[in-house]
Amino acid sequence: MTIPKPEQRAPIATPFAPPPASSSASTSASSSEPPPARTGTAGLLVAVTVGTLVSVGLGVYGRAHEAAFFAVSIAGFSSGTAAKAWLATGAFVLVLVQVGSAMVMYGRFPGVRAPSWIGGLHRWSGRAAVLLTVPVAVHCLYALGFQDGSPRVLLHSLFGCFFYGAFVAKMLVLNRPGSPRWSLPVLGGALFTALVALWLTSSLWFFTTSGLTF
Amino acid sequence: MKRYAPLLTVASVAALGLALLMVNVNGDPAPRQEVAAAAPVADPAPTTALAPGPAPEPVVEEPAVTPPAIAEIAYAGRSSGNEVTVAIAVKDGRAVAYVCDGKKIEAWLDGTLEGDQLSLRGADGAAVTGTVDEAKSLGSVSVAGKQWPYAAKGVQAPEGLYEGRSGVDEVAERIGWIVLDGTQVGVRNAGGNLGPAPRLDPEDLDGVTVDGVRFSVTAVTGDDQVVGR
Repeated sequence: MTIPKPEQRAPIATPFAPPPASSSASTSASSSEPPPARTGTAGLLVAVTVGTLVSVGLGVYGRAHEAAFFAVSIAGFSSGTAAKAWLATGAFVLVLVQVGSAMVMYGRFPGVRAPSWIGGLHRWSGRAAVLLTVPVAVHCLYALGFQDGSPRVLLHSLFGCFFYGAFVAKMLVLNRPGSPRWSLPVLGGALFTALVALWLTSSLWFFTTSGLTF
Repeated sequence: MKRYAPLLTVASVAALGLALLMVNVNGDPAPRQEVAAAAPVADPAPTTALAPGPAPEPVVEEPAVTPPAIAEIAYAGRSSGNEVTVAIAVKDGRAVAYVCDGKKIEAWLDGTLEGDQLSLRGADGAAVTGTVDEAKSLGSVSVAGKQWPYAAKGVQAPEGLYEGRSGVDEVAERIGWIVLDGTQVGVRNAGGNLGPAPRLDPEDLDGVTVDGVRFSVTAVTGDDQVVGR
């Protein structure tokens, strides 16, 4: 969930008027290593394809692999589930930072000038957020698998698979500075939506049923 | 370098995920490997035939594993003072067991049957060791820091060991039931909180619902995986 550093962002913001010309414009504005013009949509397509494969692959694994019902739990919590709920809550808080910092970078808060450190904050909070989700997701996939027993569980399973696909797609788009300028906000928004849905269908559900246990 | 930072992020996430998965898979008692190890004992000839020709001599003899005295059976019984109920299921040299007091103590164990010698272990020092024959299993059971002798008899369905799991909920709930002599004892583990199990109808394992949560209930056999390590 990182956003290009300011010098990469600048070219994305400039080709405002003609969207089709965005790739060539950003190419010319890019100071170093100009990518070929065609990487724009092609790169996005590649990114979305890879992301889709990741999502589907996770879902297939979660469905095909027999739920082990066990996983190594994390020390310091009363149960593996409590650990998951709090890790996910950490990621949820960080993803709010993600949206806030992204909105500052895109100038969505009138009168707020993006400080120089906002990119770093966005990058590192994003990295921390996604890393926090990994133990949770591994436990989900390994111990529980893809389940559809109730709407909550089905939604959670779907969003869980979607999340990592969207994450991979966004990372790949970041790696291609010539991608359409709407692609990053769209993917970032998708990630935010997915993580919030995941948090609501797991951690919040856990806290409301089991209390605020650690 | 900076340009590849997003890829590095993906790589770290993938590496962390795979590492955790490996930890889980390796911590697994891996029934598949045990079954694979048990198979050559039953029929060693094909294994030798399949061994690559050039290097037959470095094949180290497997430690002699006594074939299990009984292929498949279930036992249920109690400790000497009726402190805990014990159920053991054996299949093809693998054994699983469940020990509980119906209130606050329970343990799932797994291990082996070699010859007539049972040896099972579970979390927190739980252990069952004993001997078996067609009719009974006698031995000692350790659970919750205490040890008792036990006696269990060979049982047929509907008597035996049952396990219920609500795998669809992130709050892992699990119930073990031992059905014996028309009675049943069980413990329900709801995310680490132990309590008496609700009543199970061993004739109807479909659609078991406890407090609105669906459990999938199965009769446990010796090759089931019941212990996560």
